[in-house]
Amino acid sequence: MAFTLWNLFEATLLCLNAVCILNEDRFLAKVGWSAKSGNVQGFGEHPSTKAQMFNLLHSIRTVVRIPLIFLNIVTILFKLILG
Amino acid sequence: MNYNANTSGRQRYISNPPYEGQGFASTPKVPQVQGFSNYNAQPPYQNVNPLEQSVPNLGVLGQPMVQDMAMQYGQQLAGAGKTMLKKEVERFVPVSKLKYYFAVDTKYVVSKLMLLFFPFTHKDWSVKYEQDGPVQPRFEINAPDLYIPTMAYVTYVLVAGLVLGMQQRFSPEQIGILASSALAWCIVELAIYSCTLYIIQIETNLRTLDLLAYAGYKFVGTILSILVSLVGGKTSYYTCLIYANLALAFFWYEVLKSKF
Repeated sequence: MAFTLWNLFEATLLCLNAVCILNEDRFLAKVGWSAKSGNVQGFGEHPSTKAQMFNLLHSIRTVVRIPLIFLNIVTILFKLILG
Repeated sequence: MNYNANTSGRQRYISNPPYEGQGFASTPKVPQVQGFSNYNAQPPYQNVNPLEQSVPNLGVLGQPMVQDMAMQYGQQLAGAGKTMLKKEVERFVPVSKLKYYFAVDTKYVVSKLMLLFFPFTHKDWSVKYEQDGPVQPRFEINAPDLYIPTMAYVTYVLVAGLVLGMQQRFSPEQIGILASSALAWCIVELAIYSCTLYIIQIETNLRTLDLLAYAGYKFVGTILSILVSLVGGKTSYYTCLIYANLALAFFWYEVLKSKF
């Protein structure tokens, strides 16, 4: 039942993996969930909620990709050794 | 008083007349360490105890001028190292901003706790501003602080451990589990608030640490409910919990009304 920091870490790792795996150009653009597709808006207007969310996911993807490799390796080693 | 370490190197040699006559006659350049070896013949301060054999022969380092220079150089190094370290730490943990949230005093803490328990009669919820930010919590009761949430978090862990112990369900690991569990929920809550604020693009001057402070105030209510449950049992726990939640909701509503 206990929701500890380690559980939180594992959950975030899995969610970040899920966000980073789906390739933006090949798949998400087809579904329409890409940050690049069809952003026709004026300069002074606020982007829509969907566009903002996709921007967020895109920036998370860019920032997190490299550290995620190391975090995954570390977590796998931990789980192998400590079970 | 000749060894005043706070004066600069240049000033220090000017204010040291007793050594100038002897030292500069035999040593052409002061920074040259080899030049001081002439001093070993007649160090001025050793004339005080000619019979004592236990004075160690420090060689060059025994001379007060060299000692002084070494001390000043070391202090310069230490000062430079300290500023560099502070800059690096500031990049990861915003220490100066954190200091604002812990600038509290007893009067503020007491009145803030009363406000958390009964916010319904407080009339004026505005925050006074200085030139670049809100006034310190010490002077302004409506400003958020991180002292109460931190203390409440630690007290919650201890009180929950105490209650578990009274029910014979306690073991030392429970403290760790409780602490990390509460912290994990706080982090999740903070992440949800930050993401929501970003996605909906609300214009606000709420900072992340402000959100952390407001989220941490709920621990005060939980501590109160747990303590009440010790006295009254299950029903009193639930009633107190409901009241604490209503008070906290009202508090949040009033405080955040002016921030958006």
